[in-house]
Amino acid sequence: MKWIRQHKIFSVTAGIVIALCLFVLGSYLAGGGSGVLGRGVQSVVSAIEKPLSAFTGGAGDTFRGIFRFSSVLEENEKLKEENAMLRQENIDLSMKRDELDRLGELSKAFDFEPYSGQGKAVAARIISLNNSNTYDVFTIDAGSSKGIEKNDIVVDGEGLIGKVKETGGNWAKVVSVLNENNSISFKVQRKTSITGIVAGDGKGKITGYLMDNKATIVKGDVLVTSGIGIYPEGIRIGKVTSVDYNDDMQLKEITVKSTVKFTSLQKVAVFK
Amino acid sequence: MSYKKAVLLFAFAFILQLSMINLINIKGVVPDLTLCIVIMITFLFEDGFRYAAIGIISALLLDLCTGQYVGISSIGMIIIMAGTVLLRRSMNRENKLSFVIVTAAGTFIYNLFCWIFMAMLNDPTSILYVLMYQPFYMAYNIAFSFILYLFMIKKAVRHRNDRYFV
Repeated sequence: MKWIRQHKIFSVTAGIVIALCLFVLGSYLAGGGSGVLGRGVQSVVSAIEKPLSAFTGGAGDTFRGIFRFSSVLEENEKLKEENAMLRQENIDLSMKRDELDRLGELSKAFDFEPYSGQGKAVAARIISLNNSNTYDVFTIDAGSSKGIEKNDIVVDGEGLIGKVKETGGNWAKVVSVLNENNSISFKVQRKTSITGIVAGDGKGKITGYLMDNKATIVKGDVLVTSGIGIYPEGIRIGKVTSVDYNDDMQLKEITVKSTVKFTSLQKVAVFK
Repeated sequence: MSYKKAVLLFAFAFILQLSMINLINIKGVVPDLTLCIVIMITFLFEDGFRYAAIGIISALLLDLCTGQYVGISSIGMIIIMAGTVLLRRSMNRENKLSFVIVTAAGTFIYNLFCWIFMAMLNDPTSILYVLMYQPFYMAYNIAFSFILYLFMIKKAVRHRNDRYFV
């Protein structure tokens, strides 16, 4: 006790470090969750963050608009052309719709019920990112008050973003596909019989392996979720950027680039 | 410096870090405002570590809100504070270069510590990947700290062990 009194600052610091180590250990044993205290803090913070994030998004768009005016004009022209093409395509598709309806009736007759996304979708804005530059965990401004639950699927127009890890009243923590603990079963869009598992590599990319070593997968192949596990079938994951055979593991390993542009991500949709 | 000002400064940095800092995000790299303020207060102010200690709470709250594991950033802040206290004894605090060196070293050691701790908790991020981004983190933190330095130096008291102290 005398020694502690004589070394007051050191003792206090050591006490704090020990307490913090216990915090880390507790959070590690809880699987990375922040617990009841974290949920309380997050609820208060997200109420403050929400308007600021909205302002940041708006201000960011304005700045980007100023500095990228010429590219925006160019993009606008391209979009006009694309729009014209899509209109034509729409006409063609409308003509095929009747045929599809008839086939749909036929599928019911065979008691075939593919995933139809019956769950509701909730739109949300990203309000905070963790300090890592891999975008593997982030917080959105919608939570259990909007019916969001753990393991709900998070997507945007480009593809799969991740799943909900933790929820509070007005916030939810999302673990992205770039997180190394988030394994996803996939199939190749080009040939759906080729399946495998991918997960984040902790470096901003996605890596994985094929179930069948003899399957032919090539650079540029698009991967979609297979429907096994919590992710519904058919959501785009990313494009294959490299294929290697690992002699030691005897596995065909792939590197995948996510179709989602994480660096400019602002809004997401959560599927329940 | 007073506790009231320190609390306000850290609270401001905390809110900014979680929301508006993303506005100046380049390739996912943003300055660590809490770390910059901890280094600055500890280095520039007499008994600054007392006020910088609020940064430990701020880092803990940041971990609670966005971190994967709670507490790692806070332990990192304590290490940086201890290191800065040791460095300030042998460096001229009025020299801007000293401040730049301390900020760069602080950023590097802090990120290295976080990586070591995360690696102990089975995080697969490679050291090469962490090192690859260090120059950007250092540059960003130095830039932000320098702005703070220019603003705060007017408030800093002259240090008793400075050569020209009278």
